[in-house]
Amino acid sequence: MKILSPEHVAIDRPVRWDHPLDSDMLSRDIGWMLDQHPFSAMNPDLFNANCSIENVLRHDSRILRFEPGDIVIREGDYGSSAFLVLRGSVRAFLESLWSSRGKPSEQKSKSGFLEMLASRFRRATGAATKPDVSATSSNGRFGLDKRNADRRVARDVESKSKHPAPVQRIESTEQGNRIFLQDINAVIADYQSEPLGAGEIFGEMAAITRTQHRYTVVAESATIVLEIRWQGLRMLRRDKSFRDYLDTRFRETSLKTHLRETALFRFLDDATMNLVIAETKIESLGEREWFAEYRDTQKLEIQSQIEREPMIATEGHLVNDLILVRAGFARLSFEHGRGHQTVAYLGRGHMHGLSELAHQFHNPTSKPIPFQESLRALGFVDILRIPRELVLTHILPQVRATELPKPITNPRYDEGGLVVPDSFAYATSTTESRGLLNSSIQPALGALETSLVEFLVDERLINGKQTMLIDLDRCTGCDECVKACASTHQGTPRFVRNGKQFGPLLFAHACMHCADPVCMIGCPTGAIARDQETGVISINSETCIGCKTCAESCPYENIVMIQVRDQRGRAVVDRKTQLPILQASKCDMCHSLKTGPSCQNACPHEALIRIDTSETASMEAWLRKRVT
Amino acid sequence: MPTLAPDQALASKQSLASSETVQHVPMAGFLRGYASMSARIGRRLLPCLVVLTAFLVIRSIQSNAEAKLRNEAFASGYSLAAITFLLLLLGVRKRITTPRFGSAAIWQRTHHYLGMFCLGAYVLHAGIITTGWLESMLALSFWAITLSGLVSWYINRTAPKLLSAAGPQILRQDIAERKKQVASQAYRIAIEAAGRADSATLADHYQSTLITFFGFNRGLLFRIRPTGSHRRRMLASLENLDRYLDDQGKELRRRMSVLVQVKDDLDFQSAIQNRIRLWASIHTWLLGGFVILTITHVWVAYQFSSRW
Repeated sequence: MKILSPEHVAIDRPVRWDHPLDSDMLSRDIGWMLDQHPFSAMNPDLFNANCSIENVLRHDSRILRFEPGDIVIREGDYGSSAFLVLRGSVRAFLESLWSSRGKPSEQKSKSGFLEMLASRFRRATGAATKPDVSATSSNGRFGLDKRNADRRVARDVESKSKHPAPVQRIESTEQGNRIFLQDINAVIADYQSEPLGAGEIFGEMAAITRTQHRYTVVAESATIVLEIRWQGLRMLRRDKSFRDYLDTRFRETSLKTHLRETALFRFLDDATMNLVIAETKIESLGEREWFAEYRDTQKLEIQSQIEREPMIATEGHLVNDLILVRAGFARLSFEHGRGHQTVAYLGRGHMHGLSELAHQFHNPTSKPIPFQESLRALGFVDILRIPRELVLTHILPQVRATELPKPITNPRYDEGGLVVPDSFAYATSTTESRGLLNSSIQPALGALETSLVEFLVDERLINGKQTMLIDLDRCTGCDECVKACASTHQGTPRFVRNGKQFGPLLFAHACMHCADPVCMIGCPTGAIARDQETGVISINSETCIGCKTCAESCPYENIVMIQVRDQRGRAVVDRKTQLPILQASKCDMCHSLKTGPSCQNACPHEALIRIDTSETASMEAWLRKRVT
Repeated sequence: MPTLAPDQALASKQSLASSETVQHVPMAGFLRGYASMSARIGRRLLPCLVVLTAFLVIRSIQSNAEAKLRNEAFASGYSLAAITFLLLLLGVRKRITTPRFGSAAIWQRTHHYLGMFCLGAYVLHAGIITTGWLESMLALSFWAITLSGLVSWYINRTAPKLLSAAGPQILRQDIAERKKQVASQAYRIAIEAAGRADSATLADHYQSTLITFFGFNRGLLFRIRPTGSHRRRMLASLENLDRYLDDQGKELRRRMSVLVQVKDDLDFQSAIQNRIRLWASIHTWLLGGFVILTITHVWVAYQFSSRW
């Protein structure tokens, strides 16, 4: 397609590595790093000349220097890079240093007009300058990942309360702000941590799964660390030895951190905990880049779609393991008629099989009860399997009786097979028997109907952290939301007021800032990235090269390619081919505005909200409010 | 049976305890309902009380002025002018996008309560009946704007429900294109029917009745108050054709009936969406006229009335 308008500006088409992570990387440093583990063990023949290991290190990595006590990564922050210790040592705190942590950016995005006035007043009077930030001064809100807020607890609650929470300080230096923990030696003495020395890698778990860091890493001594962003990490994973090294490390770390932060194990002593860690198996199902398969299966009948989802546990089969979902989502369903009825979706931290094992724990003489529901992987899922015997002998005896699921009184399956074909009786009994530790279904609320749960799961809307939901019972179609979005983004709205509809609920085509943002996987430049603190995914127009990878990866078609124009509105074209220069465009939650997304602010009828559909609590609360 | 997806694992003792309370206290559901009801009442009652208080304040200022033999109309008049100015600010807010001045929903709600207050202040100021041509015009304009505001408010509350009950949302800008597509499909069915002797009746019916239905917009009456009577009549007349059609013709007839339904739904969507826009526009235009008349009235009053 040639540009017809004579008014255009010709530029060289932007390419990958136009903007290296650190433009000051020295060849000498790169040469030195290539001689170090793990790069020295890599096979350079696997990389072509353009994407050699040297080039990857030159463009996708940078060297960072830390003083003792400096925070390298913080639990709760979203990660997009792995870190390799080159010199010195760091400490990874596997237990939470702070029970909850308020996020300044989150407070900013939620603030209203009065808060804005107040902050301006504070700034004007100089009251806003705070020399140090106590990590314990929190409002308890966790922004995009509220799911984790309650779960971030120390295993040993009593011992934790003995130690004061570490104080985080900020110091301005010539190189920028330095964030460090005061009295690092005391913190190391008080909190359980693992030392990581030269040649060891950390932060890869968050980078690979595009999620939050589960632990804080602090420099123990003067340390030099190599940061490799996800784009480089992806390239380096071509080498089998590096990939294996990364995967092993990933599995070990994720296993430990996940088990340590699971409420079920909080009363286990260290010896038992180590036994559980040793016996637990980690398993991954589905593809990390699941969007392609999802697109294909979307064309099939819904029952065929469900049957193609990888099975984690089958209803009616013996419970050999307690299953913990570590990452991703899984569909909980049971056979109903000729199909499968979805009763719930499980996400990070949920367990499957606990009710059945608890039933046996309560009735040790009776025969074991099989899985009451099937569990299937939705996209990519990481699960942990803890052997049944270990659960029955070492874990459940340590759990308070009030927190254990009640015995299943009306099982759908028993040792003889299917016994109660009545789904109503079954649902009632299972909701009562799930127990508090497995985040019980609350039948009293009843706001989320089965059909809505099925809709959310089938359309994969469960991935949304900031899903745009429009209540069509209130929306008059005035388009104020679209106008506000357009005026905030130089005349181009970043969403379409149309999309999947469930009754009067419209899930508009706007970026959902997903829990698992698959759009980020393939970006060659890191232009589409997640804000470390708020979790908002935005596109950096400076580094986007218009390759369309993100737009084609988004399963929800919420990213579009638009033609780049200069400030005078002239089309920007490629100097060589005269073809238009494109850039990816999507909702950025108006992160430049203090008052949050302009679409939501502009709706005069309170019909449009941004809601976390990855957890049912927000949906339930909103639906209940909507009814009243 | 409504079934819920499980929420996140509850980790701390505190959250476990609170969850337990929610689950096992039998009164929890009632208390929740009561709390939401009181919140709802509070949300509306409080602004109503504020409006009532403001109204009483103005009334007392007016009585005070009357007792001191001053021109009591100034107090309510200036209040009215100020409220009019504030009412206008909603339109300004909608047009100003940067920097943001709070949620538009709060502005809208404030606009509604100010409107209520305005009604009271107007009655205090001018009474129900007015004399003089300028004042009569102003009064007429005021009642018209009040009426249009109330209608607009009512439509904004009810029309979305009508639309959402009518099926999947269709964007207003897409309706015309969708109608064209439906008309084109109907035309193709008619051509297919005309090509077969045993289905020609359907083509005749299309030519005599349906072509205008698919090709043109609905009449004014439907646009004002859309009903399904015309659709039902047309569907019945189409069904009556079955006796003249063979099996393939009946299949074509069924496809045509579906298109009639679709076109009627599109007309319905169009009528309701246009109704919402029309009343919002009427309200805005009337407000413009009212402001001009108000400014004239204030100027005249200031020039020729006794002073405060």
